[in-house]
Amino acid sequence: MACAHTPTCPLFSLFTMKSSLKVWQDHYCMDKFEECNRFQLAHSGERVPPNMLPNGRSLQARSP
Amino acid sequence: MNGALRRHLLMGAAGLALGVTVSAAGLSDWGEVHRMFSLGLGGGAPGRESLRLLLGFGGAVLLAMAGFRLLARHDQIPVKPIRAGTISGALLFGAGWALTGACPAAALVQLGEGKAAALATLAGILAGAWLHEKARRRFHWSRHSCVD
Amino acid sequence: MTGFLPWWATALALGTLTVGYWLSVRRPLGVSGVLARFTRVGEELDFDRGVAAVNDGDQAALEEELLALTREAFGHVGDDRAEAAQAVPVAAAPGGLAPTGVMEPATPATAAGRSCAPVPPLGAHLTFLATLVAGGALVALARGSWGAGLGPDFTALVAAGPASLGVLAGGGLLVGFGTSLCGGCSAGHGLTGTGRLMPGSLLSTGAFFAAAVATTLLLAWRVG
Repeated sequence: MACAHTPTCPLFSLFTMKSSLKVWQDHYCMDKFEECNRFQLAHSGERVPPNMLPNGRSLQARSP
Repeated sequence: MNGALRRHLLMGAAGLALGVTVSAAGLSDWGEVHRMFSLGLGGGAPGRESLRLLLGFGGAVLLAMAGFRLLARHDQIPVKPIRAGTISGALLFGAGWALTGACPAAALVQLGEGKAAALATLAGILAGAWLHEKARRRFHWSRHSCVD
Repeated sequence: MTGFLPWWATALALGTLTVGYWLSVRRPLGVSGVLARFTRVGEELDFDRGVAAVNDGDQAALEEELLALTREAFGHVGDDRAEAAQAVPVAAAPGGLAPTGVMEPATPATAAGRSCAPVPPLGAHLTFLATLVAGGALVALARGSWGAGLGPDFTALVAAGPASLGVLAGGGLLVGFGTSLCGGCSAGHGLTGTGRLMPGSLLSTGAFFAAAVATTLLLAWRVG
């Protein structure tokens, strides 16, 4: 079963862009979405940080 | 940074305009707010003077209605649905507003007007918001979609 | 003798501000929610940092980091960059991650209407609150009334002396908890929400006006 948040999740569309990122989709969005940190946060009514990955790690993006 | 500076200037202009309006309108004046909520029934001579803020607020709502309809008809503005805390929260707020004479904006404006007592009101408002956040997490109330 | 704006000028100013705020800032006007952000500064700054990371960070570095974290989570996932370059040219477009909308809310601007802007960083909201204070100071200085108390009505009807501070703090607590619970204040619900006929705002505004009127009449009745 797929995650109900796929139409609005910005990371889902991002993961579609590169085939090497599809593993995220296969593992979380299309399968174990209940383990996705973003899903869990959204489900409990909290804000989801835009830089948070499904496994809870955060993109830090050092300034150039 | 350019974008950040623009944002500060924009928010600063908005804050200043709102602050001046609230103060000039008397929305930060305890007596004026009290007369507004008296509906002309008590606390001062009834008549147009005691209905001034009531008419002002009502007129502003009508104007905003027309403005949104004319200028922002298709805009995607976040919605405000009825929720579990809508009535209870609003009742608490109304009682607090009538006691302190200050809605959140007015408490800050009063501070600017040099009304030192507003510090107590402001401290109370921050404590109340903090307490709500604690309770919200404790009892798993969901967050309002919109921050402001 | 009040020296306040007449009702029509009050209506004109508040109404214009409400609509103008949306048109320029592209956020609904509101104060209680902005104030509440400052009760959890650490968390809000963390969130702002996350927004800035995907928005203003170096996009190439961000992609590099994303691929590294992917490898870390799932092991080897192929020659990422070579594959990316040939498989999906879209990702190589200038701007990298940004066009995919990591940052923007899931409401793209349509041809017909403007979309809501993301919540501004905490610093911009601090500017908003500080200039709100400054606006009050400006008017009070112009009137020559700076530093006055809350006025004779307050002392007569509520309390005087140190006891009044307790009443104000308690009342403030009601305002802070109440606005957080109903999700708006006189600006967010009273002006912006009712101006757009939002059900939650109409109900809130009706309820807080009713409670304020009841409390006010109670105060007047108590004194006699």
